[in-house]
Amino acid sequence: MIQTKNIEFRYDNRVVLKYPDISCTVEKPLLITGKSGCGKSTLLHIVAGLTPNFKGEVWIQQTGIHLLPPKKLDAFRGKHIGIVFQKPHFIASISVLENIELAAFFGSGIRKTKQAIELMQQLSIDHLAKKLPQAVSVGELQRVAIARALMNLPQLIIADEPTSSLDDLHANIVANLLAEQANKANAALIIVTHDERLKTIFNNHIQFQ
Amino acid sequence: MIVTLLFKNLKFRLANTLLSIVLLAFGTGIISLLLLVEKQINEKLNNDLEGIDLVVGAKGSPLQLILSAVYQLDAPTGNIPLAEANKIGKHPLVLSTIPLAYGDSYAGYRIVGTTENYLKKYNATLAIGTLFTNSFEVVIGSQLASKENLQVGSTFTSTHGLSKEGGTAHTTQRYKVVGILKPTNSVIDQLIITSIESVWEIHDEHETKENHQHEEDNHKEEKSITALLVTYRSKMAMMLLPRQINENTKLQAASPIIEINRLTNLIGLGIKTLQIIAWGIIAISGLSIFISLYSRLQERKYELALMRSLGAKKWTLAFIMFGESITLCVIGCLVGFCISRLGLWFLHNYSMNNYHMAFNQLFLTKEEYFLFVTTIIVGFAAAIIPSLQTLKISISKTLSHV
Repeated sequence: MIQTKNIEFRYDNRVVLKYPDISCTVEKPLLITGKSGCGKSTLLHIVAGLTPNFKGEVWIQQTGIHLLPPKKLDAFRGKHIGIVFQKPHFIASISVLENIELAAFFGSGIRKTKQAIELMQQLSIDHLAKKLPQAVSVGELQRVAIARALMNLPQLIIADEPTSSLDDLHANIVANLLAEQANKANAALIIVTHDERLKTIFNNHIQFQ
Repeated sequence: MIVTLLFKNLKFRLANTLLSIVLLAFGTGIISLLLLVEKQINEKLNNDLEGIDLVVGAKGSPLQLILSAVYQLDAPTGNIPLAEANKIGKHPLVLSTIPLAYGDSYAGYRIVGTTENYLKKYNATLAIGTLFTNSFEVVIGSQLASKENLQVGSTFTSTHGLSKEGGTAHTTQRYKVVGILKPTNSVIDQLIITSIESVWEIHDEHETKENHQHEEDNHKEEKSITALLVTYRSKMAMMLLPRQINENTKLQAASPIIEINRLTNLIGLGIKTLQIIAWGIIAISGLSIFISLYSRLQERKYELALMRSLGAKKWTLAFIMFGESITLCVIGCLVGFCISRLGLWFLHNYSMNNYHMAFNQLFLTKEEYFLFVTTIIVGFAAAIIPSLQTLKISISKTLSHV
């Protein structure tokens, strides 16, 4: 169960945005849509613990991440939150497999090569293992990003515009993969997007103005 | 994993990495080579000097006298009468003397007529064969033996003069090798040593051919040697003896320590200048590492923020920065040490052919450890600002502005 209460985004100590409370469970993935610039990505960063500039409460299972000091927050995020970014960015100098292992390493201190390869097989990207990220197509990289987010069996997966750079076919595949894999890993899923196509897949849906 | 990441990052920016390494390697290579050469020259100079307090020879340049008599590097200043030299040997302040008669050579290696005391001074012992007992028997230094492929029983003719080419050959008498010395790491390794009488006899015969008529009148009295190595009985001699000889006789007395200090000061000046240039190169390579880390920071910002979002600690990222910089410095420095060994090897071959001077040093010297540590400090310093910048990265901002 993921829950937020009275979230306000602050910048230079001024309240810039107020958010409605949201909640999400493993069974019901949450889709947040809205025009670009309405602050939906910011909410995502708040929930993921990527920014300290907010007031309010964020609960991930029993942990209130608004209560965690920065170091513990880093560790908690690495271990329990998987993030899929809009643009599939990776460390350019290491292979796809090593990029996935890196998530395990920062999250738990172990490379977990075996799990990484299994995960890649499930997402049918195991043939990319040895390639550098720049040699892999955008659609495939988005799958790699999903694999990376799943690596530590997180409690929460958040995806920021995971499909906006993909065509209809791949958008569909990636969205379904996300839902399916999150469910398999017993992780709650929050997707933020302006991609109207996803509304047909996820019915737990909040629209920001 | 971090180490893998570190090396792959360096490999990924191969051009930058190579530039930094090459700069560092040249800087440390030059410094290390200079250190080695200076150290070896000093060692060599001092080693050969051991136990020689004063050199007495013909009037001329004192440095030339020392270089020729102690190191067998320069031409002799001239000859001195044996009778005069014997007088010095009997002086109460003198403990012992060693006469040297030289001026001939074989294949560029000098033939020195002397006594067994000369060998004892350098702790030279026979590897094979016997010492010279009769005229025209010689023992040879270890390097000479291996270079010229001479064995016990080999014979050769000498050349008047010290150069490899030219000079009149003494064709009638052949020298015979009776012994080969163990390596001493001193000047002896490159010398042909024989009895002083051999040198006299070969020149008697030489002169006999040219001036038959004067032979009878002045031969026996005019026996001469080239130089005399003197060991003092007491420190007092240092004050008195050189002045007595220089003022009261036709001979010249030169103190090796004073002359060699003068020489090393001159060499030292050149080495200092080169060292300053080389430190400059190291500073530039530090700057180049700094610039490449700093300019890449902008493009790497996303990677760093990404790693933070994956749970990496701030200090882990700073550690990667320091790691990359210091790795470059370590590699550069090690390559530099290899360069200096290679340089020394070339120098060794060159000076073996031209001066019969050997250089060798494989292991790191104390000064090189210091150099190594300094380079690492340079690497550390170059990474300070870039890694402080990584600490300031805001994950959220970086990730949303792509």
